[in-house]
Amino acid sequence: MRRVVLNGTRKLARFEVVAAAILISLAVSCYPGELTNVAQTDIVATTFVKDAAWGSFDSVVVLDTVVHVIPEGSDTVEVSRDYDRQIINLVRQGFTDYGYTLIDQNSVDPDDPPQSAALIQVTAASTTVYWQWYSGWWGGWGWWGGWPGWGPGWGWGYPCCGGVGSTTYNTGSIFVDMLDLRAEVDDTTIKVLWSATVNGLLGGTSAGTEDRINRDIRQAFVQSPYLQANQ
Amino acid sequence: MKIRVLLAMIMVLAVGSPAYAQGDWWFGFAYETSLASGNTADFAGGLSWRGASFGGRNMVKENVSVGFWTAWHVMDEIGVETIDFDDEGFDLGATVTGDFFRYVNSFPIMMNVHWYSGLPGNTRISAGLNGGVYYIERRAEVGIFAVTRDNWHFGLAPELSVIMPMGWRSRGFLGARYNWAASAGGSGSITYWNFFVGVAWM
Repeated sequence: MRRVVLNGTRKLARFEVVAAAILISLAVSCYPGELTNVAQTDIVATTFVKDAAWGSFDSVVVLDTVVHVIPEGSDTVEVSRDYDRQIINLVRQGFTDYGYTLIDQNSVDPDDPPQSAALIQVTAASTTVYWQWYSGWWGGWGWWGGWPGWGPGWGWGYPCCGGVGSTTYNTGSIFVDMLDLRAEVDDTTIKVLWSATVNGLLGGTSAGTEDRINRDIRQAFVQSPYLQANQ
Repeated sequence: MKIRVLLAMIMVLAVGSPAYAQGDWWFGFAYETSLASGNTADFAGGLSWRGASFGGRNMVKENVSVGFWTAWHVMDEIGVETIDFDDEGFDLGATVTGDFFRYVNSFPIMMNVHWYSGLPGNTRISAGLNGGVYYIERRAEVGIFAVTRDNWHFGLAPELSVIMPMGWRSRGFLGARYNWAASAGGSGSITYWNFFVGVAWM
């Protein structure tokens, strides 16, 4: 009786198994479509006091200087001052578009401010996030508060096959605060009616940064329709 | 002579037509797509083209098998969104705009039982039920911030498929499956469909 040899068939089957495994594994990725440019890290967050007398303001005093907050002991300004004028102009335009009259800060008596005017202060700050990783664990820490429940979740060095590494990255934030000069305050507190925070990774080209600032500050006003003057 | 011819015919049939005896194991890989449903679709909707599975089945009867199945399914939703936070009882309202990245990674590990129509060696319809656990990670990113929740869920996954002979000891199959992972660890239930195509061999 002739023996049927199946060795060739078994080798072919093993090849098919390996080939199928490789091809299918290439089709899978945990987090498809991840960040591809720094602009995607931008977020625009606005908060407002619900029961404020919205509509009772018809003018604003936009301070013409961006205050840059730098860490104690440091003299390095991470958020470049090159964009200060652009930022101030965008903030002024945003309030103008909403029907506010701009008042020159030099014409205002601090002890007797206009009753229908709000004060606008722009601040800029940067944060350095330190990121460490080693094989089998993905973690890190940062000290910018953000908002509760969230933490830094972005970084390089997705571990593979063992190893330890660290990296740092800088984020920049622009804060626009609308202050109610009419509110009763103590010596150290002024009521903030509306606050806009623009946050994103520092980096990219100058033209790209200008586009991001332009887009994000405009968005802060778009998502705050209650700012409309004299409603 | 007639006996030799008859024996030769028997030999050809024996080699050319695999004898699928009870106790035979089949193993298979499949490419799988995923489509979230219900609340899961609100988090990461749309058809996802990323997924794969591996399984094995033992033919305990000519038309019944028991086996195991494991897979990796990815669902995602990416886009610029504006979200308002306006909860009653809070003095402050808030709005956030950014590029949101949301992901669901699901890893089912299950046992199963299947019933098959027709006869071995022909095209067959298979109906089955998978039962076991899902390890599911949900991740949401905006800006440089991210929050991740992962839990083990008990779950069930009924499925329907068509199995077609492809040649010596191999089969092609395609079908659909509904996944239901029960709520666990503060996470609600996760539901989604799979549509798959694969190859199995003995």
